[in-house]
Amino acid sequence: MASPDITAPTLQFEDVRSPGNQDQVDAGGFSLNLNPGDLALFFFESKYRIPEIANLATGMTQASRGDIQFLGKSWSGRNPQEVLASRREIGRVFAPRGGAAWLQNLDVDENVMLPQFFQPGVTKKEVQAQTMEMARRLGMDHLPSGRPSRTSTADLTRAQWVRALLPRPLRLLVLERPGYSVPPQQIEPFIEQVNLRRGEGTAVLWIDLPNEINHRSRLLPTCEFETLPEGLKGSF
Amino acid sequence: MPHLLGKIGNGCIAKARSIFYLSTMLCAGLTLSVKPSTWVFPLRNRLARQILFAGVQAVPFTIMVAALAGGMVYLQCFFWLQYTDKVEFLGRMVAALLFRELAPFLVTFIVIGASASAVTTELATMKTTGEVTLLEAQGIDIFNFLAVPRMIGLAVCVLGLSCIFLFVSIIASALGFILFNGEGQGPQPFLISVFDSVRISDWITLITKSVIPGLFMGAICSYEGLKVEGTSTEVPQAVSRAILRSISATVLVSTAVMLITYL
Repeated sequence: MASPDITAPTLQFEDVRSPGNQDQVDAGGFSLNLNPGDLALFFFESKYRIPEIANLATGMTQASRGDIQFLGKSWSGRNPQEVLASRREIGRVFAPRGGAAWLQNLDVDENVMLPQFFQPGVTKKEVQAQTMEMARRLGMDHLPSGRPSRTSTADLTRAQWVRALLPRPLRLLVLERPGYSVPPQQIEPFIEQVNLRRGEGTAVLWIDLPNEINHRSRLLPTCEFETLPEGLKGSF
Repeated sequence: MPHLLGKIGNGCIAKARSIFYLSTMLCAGLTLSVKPSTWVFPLRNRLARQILFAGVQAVPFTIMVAALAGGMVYLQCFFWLQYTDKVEFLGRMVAALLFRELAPFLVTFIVIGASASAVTTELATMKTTGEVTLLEAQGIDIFNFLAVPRMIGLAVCVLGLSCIFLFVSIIASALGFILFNGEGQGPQPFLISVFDSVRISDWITLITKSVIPGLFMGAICSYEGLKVEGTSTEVPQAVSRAILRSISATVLVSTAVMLITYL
C-alpha cells in the first residue's frame, strides 16, 4: 500500500457537486483546500443536511461531479483496503439522527475502543489505557459502560469525542454537531483537545447549526461556509 | 419461447453468480481465519459470543435429540438385522449411521434452526439501521468483522455439537443394547464392536460434513443479511432465504461427501 502524501493538503474538494436530492446538501460546484492544522466551519440551516458533507469528505458518498482528495489521492482512486486504512486516520463525531453512531449490540465503551483494535500492532491494554487517558483529558472519570440505548444523549456525545480523538495518526477530524445536548461549559476540554490536535497537524471540519455554536471565538476557523439557496458560500 | 429461455438463462446466471460469490466468501473467510493478525480482540470476542449463543446454548437440546436418535437407530438396526439374521453387523451399522450420516446432518439442522435466523436478522437489522455504514466510516472491514467470526463460529459449533451428539447417541445405543440384547450382557461387546468398525475415513467424513456446512451456513446468513437494502420489511425475506439456502447447502454438501466416500 502506498504511503500517504503528507505534503499534500489533508482534504481537497475540487469543483464538487453532491449527488444528493433536495433534502440533502447541495455542495454545488464548490472547492476547498484544507491543509494540516486548518479548521473549516460549515453552517447548515437544516440539521438533516449535515451528514452529506461529512460523508463526502470521508469517501462514504461519491460526488456526482468533481473530485475529493484525502492526503493527495482521490477517494475514488483507492482500492477498498486503502480506503479503510485512510478512514482509520479520520476521527468523526457522527450527527445525531444522521444515521447510526453506535452499534447497539456493544456497550458504549466497547464502541469507543472498537476502531482502535484495528490499528496495526496495538494491544488491548494499550487501547484501554489510551481510551481512559483521553476520557480523563475530556473531563470524564470513566466511559459509560451500558448499551447506547440506555445512555443519556450528553454522555453519548462526550463518548463520541473520545472516539473521534483516539486515532493515531489523526489526519482529519470531522465533527458533526459535536456540542449537541452537552452543556456549553463541558465542551471546553474538547475544544482544547481539538486545538491541540490542530497544532500537531490535524485538519478539522466542524459542521454545525448556526444557533448551536456558542464557542466560535475559541475555534479560530481558517474558513467558514454557510448554505444559501444556490449552494455553499464560503468566506476566508 | 425466447422469453422463457431468457428467464431460465437469467435465473441460471444469477444462481451461478450467487454460488461463485459464496465460494469466494468461503475462501476469503478461510484465508483470513488462518492469519493470526485477523483475530484482534473484538473478533475473538465476537467468535466467543457466536460459539456461546449458537453452540453452548444448543447443548441441552442436542443431548436430548441425540439420546432419542441413538435409541431409535439402535432399535431399527437391531430389529432389521435380527430379521435378516445378521446381528453380528450391529455395531458396524450403528457406527456407520451415526458417524457418517446422522450426527453431522441432524446437528447442522439444529444449528440452522437455532442460529441461521438470528445471524441473518442481526446483520440485516445492522444494515437497515446504518450500523454497517458506521463500521465502514470508521475504517473497519465489514467482511472481516461481521462475516468471518460468524462463519468460523458456526463451523466450530456444528463440529463440537456433532461430537457431543455422537457421544450421547452411542451411549443411548449402548443402553438399547443392554435392554434388548436378551442375553444379559453389559455394553462392552457392543461398544467394542462400534469402535472397532470406525475407520479414519469415518472421522474425516464427520469433520467434513460438520465443518463445511457450518462455514456455508455462516457465509449464506452473512451474505443474505448484508444484502438487505432499504427498509426493515426486507429482513424476514432475507431470513427465509438464508434458512432455505443453508438447508440446500447442507443437503448438497452431505450428498457430495457421501458420494466421494462411497465411490
